[in-house]
Amino acid sequence: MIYADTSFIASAYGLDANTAAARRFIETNEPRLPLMFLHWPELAKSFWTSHPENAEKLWDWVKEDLAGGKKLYPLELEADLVARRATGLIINFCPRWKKLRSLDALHVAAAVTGNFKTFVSFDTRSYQRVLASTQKLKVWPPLTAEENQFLK
Amino acid sequence: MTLLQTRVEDKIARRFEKAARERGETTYSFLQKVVVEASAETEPETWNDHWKKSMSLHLKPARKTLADLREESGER
Repeated sequence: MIYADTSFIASAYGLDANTAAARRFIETNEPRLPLMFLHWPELAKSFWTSHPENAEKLWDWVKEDLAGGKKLYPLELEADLVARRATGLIINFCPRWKKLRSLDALHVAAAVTGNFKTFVSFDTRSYQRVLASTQKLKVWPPLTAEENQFLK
Repeated sequence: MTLLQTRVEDKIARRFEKAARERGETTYSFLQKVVVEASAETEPETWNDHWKKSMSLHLKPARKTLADLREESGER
């Protein structure tokens, strides 16, 4: 079971430096990806900032695919449960990683709460992927050397 | 009683059979046509169709990834 951060979904539907990597992953794994409340605001931001002329089409495309259920499916997790787990992650890791964002913790908490095994994300500049790794999630693409440093 | 009448409401079966006769079809050839038409509804898109559709949108490559946007917005 694969949980995709919004960075992955935005690259799969839009066109940016990570789209080719997203395509490779999708062609190999043919994943059915969960979409939940955390994804929508960030996807909107990505589409309307990076592809304003096609944002509506991209938005409708995601909604159609979600309804189709072959590529995406709605993940219904209890928001309070996700938030409580994210809070625990923040309390445990914030003293060590001062710049850990709440949103990073929320995505990782959602993946853990939903019992996902793999966490795909292109956000290598935050602590999100490192945090996912501490929660025994298999992170794709593999952690960079810099990210691995944070685990020491 | 026809097989159709054992499966659906009698009134509907009679109307369906009448419609088939009017079209010069047997009940079952007409039923087959109706089923084929209904199943011609568009299938949900799979990842196999994804990249072709993406190409058709002629997207301009974005200079920034979502990670860049997150960073830029000062969310960290």
